Amino acid sequence: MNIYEFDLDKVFSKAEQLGISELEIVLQSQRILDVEAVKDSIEKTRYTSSLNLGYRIICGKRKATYGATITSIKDAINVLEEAVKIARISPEDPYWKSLPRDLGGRSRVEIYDHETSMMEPSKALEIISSTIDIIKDYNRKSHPITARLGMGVIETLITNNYGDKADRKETIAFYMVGARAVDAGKEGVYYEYKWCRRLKDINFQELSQRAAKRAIDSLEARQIETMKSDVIFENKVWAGILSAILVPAILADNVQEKRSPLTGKIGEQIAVENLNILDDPHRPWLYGSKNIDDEGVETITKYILKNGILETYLYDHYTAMRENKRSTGNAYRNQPSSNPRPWPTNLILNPGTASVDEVIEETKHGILVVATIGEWLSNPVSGQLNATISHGYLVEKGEVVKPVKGLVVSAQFYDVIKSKLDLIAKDQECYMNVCSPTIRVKEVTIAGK
Amino acid sequence: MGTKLTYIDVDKIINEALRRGVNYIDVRYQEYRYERLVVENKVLKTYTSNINHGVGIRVLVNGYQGYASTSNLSWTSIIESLEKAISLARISKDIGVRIDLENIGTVRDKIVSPFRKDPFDVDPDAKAKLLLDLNKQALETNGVKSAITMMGLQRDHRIYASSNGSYIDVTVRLVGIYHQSIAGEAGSMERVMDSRSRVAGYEFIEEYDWTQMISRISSLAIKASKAPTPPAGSYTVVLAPEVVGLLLHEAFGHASEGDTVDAGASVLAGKLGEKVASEYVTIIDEGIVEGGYYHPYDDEGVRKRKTIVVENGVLKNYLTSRHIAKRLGLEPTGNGRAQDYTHIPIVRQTNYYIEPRDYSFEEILEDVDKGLYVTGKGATGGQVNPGTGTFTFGVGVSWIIEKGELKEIVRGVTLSGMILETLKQVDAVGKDLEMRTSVFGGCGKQGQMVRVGFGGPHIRVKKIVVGGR
Repeated sequence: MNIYEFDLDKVFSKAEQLGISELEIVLQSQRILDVEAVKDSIEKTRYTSSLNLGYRIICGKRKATYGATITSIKDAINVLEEAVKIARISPEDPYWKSLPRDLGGRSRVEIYDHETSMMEPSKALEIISSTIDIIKDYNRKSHPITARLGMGVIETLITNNYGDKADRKETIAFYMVGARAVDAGKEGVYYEYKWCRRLKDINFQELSQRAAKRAIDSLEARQIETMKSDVIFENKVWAGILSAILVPAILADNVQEKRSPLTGKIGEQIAVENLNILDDPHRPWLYGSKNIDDEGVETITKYILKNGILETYLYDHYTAMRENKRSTGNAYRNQPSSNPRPWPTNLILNPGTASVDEVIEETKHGILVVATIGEWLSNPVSGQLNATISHGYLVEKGEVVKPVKGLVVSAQFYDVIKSKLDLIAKDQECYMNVCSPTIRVKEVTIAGK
Repeated sequence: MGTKLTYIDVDKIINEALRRGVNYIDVRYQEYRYERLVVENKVLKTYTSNINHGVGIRVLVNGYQGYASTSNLSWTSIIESLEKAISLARISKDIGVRIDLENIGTVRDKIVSPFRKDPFDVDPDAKAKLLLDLNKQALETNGVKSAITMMGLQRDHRIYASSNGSYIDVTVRLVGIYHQSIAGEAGSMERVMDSRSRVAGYEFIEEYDWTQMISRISSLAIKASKAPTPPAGSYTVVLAPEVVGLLLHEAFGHASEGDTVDAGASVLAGKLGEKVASEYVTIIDEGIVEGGYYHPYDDEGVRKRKTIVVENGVLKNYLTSRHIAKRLGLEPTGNGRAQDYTHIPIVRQTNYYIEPRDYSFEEILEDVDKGLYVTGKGATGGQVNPGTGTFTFGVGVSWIIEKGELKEIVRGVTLSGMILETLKQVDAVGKDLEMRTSVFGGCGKQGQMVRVGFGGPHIRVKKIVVGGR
């Protein structure tokens, strides 16, 4: 069955009989194909298909969410009977006002790619097989560890008792490649990733070669002494840091529950003047692009930081109603049964004008960071940034001189963006739904030996 | 309470597959029930309940593997999945690699983890009330600005059946409560969190002293919000059991997983029989341990027994699935695990821990002239590159140690290093083994999350790099 074949009127009438005051239904189907190679051979090919139902049920101000995998409308009705029992006994939520109305909207965003949705498994196997060869052929020292290509189609239907319906059909594509380098008893590894919406946006050659090159570079990487130095964060690394520290701080639920250091800072200068960050759901083919959010509300483009000034937090309908505002179209659900919460669509740090080479040339003494681990261990409540540099390069007098590793960057993120971030390059890459150019930060502590 | 779902007829699927010419098939049915309640600042924000079910089919056709799964339990849909799996196996023939699964005997068993009260039979009202009371208690602590309290309840029912005649039916219940308190003023806020989960029924929720856990968390949050971050550098570090568990799981455990070794991505590759840690370190992976997760069988029909990974500092074994066991020429250790029916099992840890020795906590501290005592309350997890052995993880509230005594409280501590160097620096292992598991999370690898148990006694490491200010 597909999501449009269910007679949801039957569910709404049942809801009325059960005395439910508001009901939201989310139906989602997923079809995923996934191919994985280990070393130089393809080991796993996997196809999954699922159909999930999620309810948000409101009885007065009492609410519950309930989810299930379903096969028929009968299953959906049975599940509703279970779910209402929970809603009825839940304590009232004093902030509850209503489910959103006016679902849908006119915006059209390119997120469904026919070619990606129809790819034959044999073609996916060929791609993976050729990327393995790219790594093997790159250099006698480089060997593939793993390569994985996943793609799928997700269809989502959202409706509630106020009568409107909204839907979304999207494709996703994911590529990961790991390379190992071995030479004279030394070993190095490097992984590259890409999340997007269509296969043609994945440059298999470039990603695979970069994995091989950086694995080879890391053969010679050494830890260096603890020091203060300038740090150049490559685009995807800085995107990962924004994702770990800034994203939680701009979500309205965290602000309202006093878990954000940005509480009460709307209109304040919190960053250098040339820092502009957008939440932009309408860029074609980006991973976080969408026409409607996960409550069915139309998405909009807005500045989070404009010239360094904090412009807005991100709201779903519930957090918006709490402040008598309109949702910013940022409702997000992990799965159909999750309670929605605010989340960025595409969080985009606008690029600057310098090339990455110019940023390096401008740096007398610094570290170029190309991969970190553990940046997500940073503390979004305190703003403490911590990340271990697994792959980096020492920069001296404007030139990359040697690879380094095993260093820890520690800094107060809000000090960094307000007074230490001094160069923004013009390149841009995304780490899932967060996109950033390469940036430079002055005078940061790097813990080493 | 609970919607009754019909089991599928696994024998019928197996027979159909054999009729279509597959050489081997295993079928995994799963029904997964999960409830989560979240109270934020005295309001029940989320009460969510889920029942997911489905079936995953793995086939080998002339030695090539195909896998397909569906959430639709109709016979038509199951047959479609079987056809998909067979077709994926056939197309792998030209380009894929042959998969050999280490043979295991036929097993027929049914196991239910110990419990007295099914968490899904308990009145939802009682769950919500308990959680609201606990959250309120935290917010009544002077200085606490924000508090989240969560309850998680799980029942995971898995059936494994194969064309070798095995049929294994396992149900595991897991319950727990998590709490986070945030204290301090803007600019110096701090969060401290902790949780307790147990393989048990709802009786664990009723009997555990949550009030004490929450007041401990809240008072630590208040102290930590005023605490400085220690200067960055190298320290002698004493690790609390939950941090030992985290360090070990992330930095060593993943490197000991046979698939990582086989892929050439592990720092432990080729080191069987070699010294990889100090002589005080013995590392175990075991399916059933008090306080840990409950894992009598893996998702490939292999009984999980006690695996000695490291004995007195010497690497003895890798963890394996049936396929990896065959590749490496080792025994299957019962570590082939899948997140759910949609995934193919891969090598995962179960309950991974350092065996206790004879030091008391005081004796471990005694010889430290200047160092750090780190705990997990507020720890955010860890990450490792198993190929190089580089690890990093954020720990919770910590204390400066001076002349064998705990002094000033500090925060914002991140530990990092190279795992083999770190384990060789272990010079004291305590006698106080403590295992943990969690109903709120687990371990992620290749897009699959599984429940794990981790722990150890207190240990002392002569030197670790600490990221601070």
